[in-house]
Amino acid sequence: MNVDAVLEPTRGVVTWLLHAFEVPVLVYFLVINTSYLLLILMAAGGFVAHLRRLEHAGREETVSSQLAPGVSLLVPAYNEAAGIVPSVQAMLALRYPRHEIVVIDDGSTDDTFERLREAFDLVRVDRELPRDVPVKVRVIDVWVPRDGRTRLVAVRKENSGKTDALNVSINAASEPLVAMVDADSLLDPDALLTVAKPFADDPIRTVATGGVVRAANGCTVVAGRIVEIRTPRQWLPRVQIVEYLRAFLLGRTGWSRMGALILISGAFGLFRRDVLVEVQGLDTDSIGEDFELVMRIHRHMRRARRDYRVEFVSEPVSWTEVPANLKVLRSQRRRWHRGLWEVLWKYRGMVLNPRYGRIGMIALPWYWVFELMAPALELAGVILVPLGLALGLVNIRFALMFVLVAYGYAIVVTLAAMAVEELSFHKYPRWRDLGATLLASVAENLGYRQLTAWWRVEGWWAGLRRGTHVWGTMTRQGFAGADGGER
Amino acid sequence: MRNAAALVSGHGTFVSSAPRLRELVDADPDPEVRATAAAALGCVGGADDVPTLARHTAVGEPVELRRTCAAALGEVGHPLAADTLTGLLADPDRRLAQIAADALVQLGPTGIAQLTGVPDGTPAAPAARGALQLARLRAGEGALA
Repeated sequence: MNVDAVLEPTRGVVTWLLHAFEVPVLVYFLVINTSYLLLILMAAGGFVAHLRRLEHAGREETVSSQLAPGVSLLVPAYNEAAGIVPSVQAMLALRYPRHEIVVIDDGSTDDTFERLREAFDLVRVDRELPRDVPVKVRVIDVWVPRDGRTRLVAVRKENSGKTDALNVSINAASEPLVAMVDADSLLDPDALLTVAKPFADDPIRTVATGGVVRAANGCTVVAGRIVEIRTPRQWLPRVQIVEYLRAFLLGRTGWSRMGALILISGAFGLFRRDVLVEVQGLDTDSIGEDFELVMRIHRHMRRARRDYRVEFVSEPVSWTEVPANLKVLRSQRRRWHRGLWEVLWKYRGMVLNPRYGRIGMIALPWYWVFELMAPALELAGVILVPLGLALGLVNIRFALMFVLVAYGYAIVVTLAAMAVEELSFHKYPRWRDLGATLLASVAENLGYRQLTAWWRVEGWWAGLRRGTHVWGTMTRQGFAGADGGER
Repeated sequence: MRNAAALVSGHGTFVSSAPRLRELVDADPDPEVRATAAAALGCVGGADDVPTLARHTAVGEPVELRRTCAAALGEVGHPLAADTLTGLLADPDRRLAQIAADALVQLGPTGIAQLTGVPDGTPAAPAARGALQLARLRAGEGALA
């Protein structure tokens, strides 16, 4: 069958769609890429200021300072037997004057708790947990190290999910600040010093800070610590490194500079515990619970007319393994976008509402238009432009302009992000790694973006249909150890 | 500004700031400032400050202020606080009860005796028992049966 004959019936629809959308889609991509570029420029300004202050920051003094507020690291763990002991050891060894680790064993079916008990010589205590925030299930028991000095608390509970486990850990925490950390996150030794600094600088107003989460694939890990930073050999994680740099590091730094940060990653965020209690902890019904929490804090503080700050700390602090296969990546991206939709919809009353300041007037509208709707518009462009070309409805000049604005400009934005990051932090010491990430910034546009756009639309659709929340399983490959072994 | 000043007074252990901190705990219109001042009083205060702090652990005071005052009584560490703290062990605010139990441990032998004297099966028992167990572990006496 002739291809033209197959496409012919669509001619009318495609003609109408192209007339209606060709200019808006071009303008859309122009604005989205320009807004990213502006965020990156703002982030660059922030990095310069940060690096200037760094040598006078008094980090060494902070290590022994009584002014540093105590931190409870909250670690929800479900079937984390393989990595829980080195993770907790690394967290206990973090440089910080006063911190404790609260591990919540969320009804693991493997020997997560047994390994903890053996490694840290835990004994059961009759410690009751206050019900500061509501929780779904019963706590089974509470354990602490026999020496009474190692600041570790392990709580066993029936399985009820990560969010509820975090709420239990908020109740179990005894320090004024709480850091939510994934059990498989790898933290830099100074992670707490770095992320808690805004609290020490402005203890009255700072209510939450977020740390950078970077992709750890390809890095060498020893005893729960990154000892050598390398790019992974596989292209899928390599592209995600570029994506994390642009969206998570530069994007969020820019939003923070603007005083409009609305998302702190669940993989590493630090919060004032009393504020979490005021907002009654995390929403166990939300699939985007980290985003939902920060939005709820903003709404709560703005309604109470309190002067507050939510900050993003750009210095690298936390590392996590990103999906290395398409199945896991699809599940993650569907979940993220569904969470984004549900939270934006829940807080739609704040959009363009001057009562919520920059959050309502800038950040939320931007997220609606340039985060939520972006994949649908991208897919529309990817389908319509080739179809229009095939039907002779689009001239080559327009098609080229579309490619330049949507993809060429995006590559320029990504390269700018990488240049800013490299000049500020210089995390990849080898030229080969830098070259690999440069290539990945181009490769990202050849299939990866379109595929993730499709998955994000799937997630949005699932949210619209209000189907069952599915977290999926994050299959991890582990990290190469210094001896070549696996963590 | 008052909040920050109170915070620094406590951390800097500026003992001369105690009278002003007492005023803030008693009468500042902002509950957050009162709580910060109470915490600071825990660092710089002494026996004279026990009545002020004890008064603000009473039912009806803001939750955060009650908790901060209980913790501050432990920091001051004077046996005069023992009865007030013991009275808080059965409080419906279980975090306050736990803070009071930990504060009793900080008082030393007087506080430990109060905790040991709490009868099993009473509302005060869980907080007392938990704090005692942790205290014994820290003292190297091993876990309770």
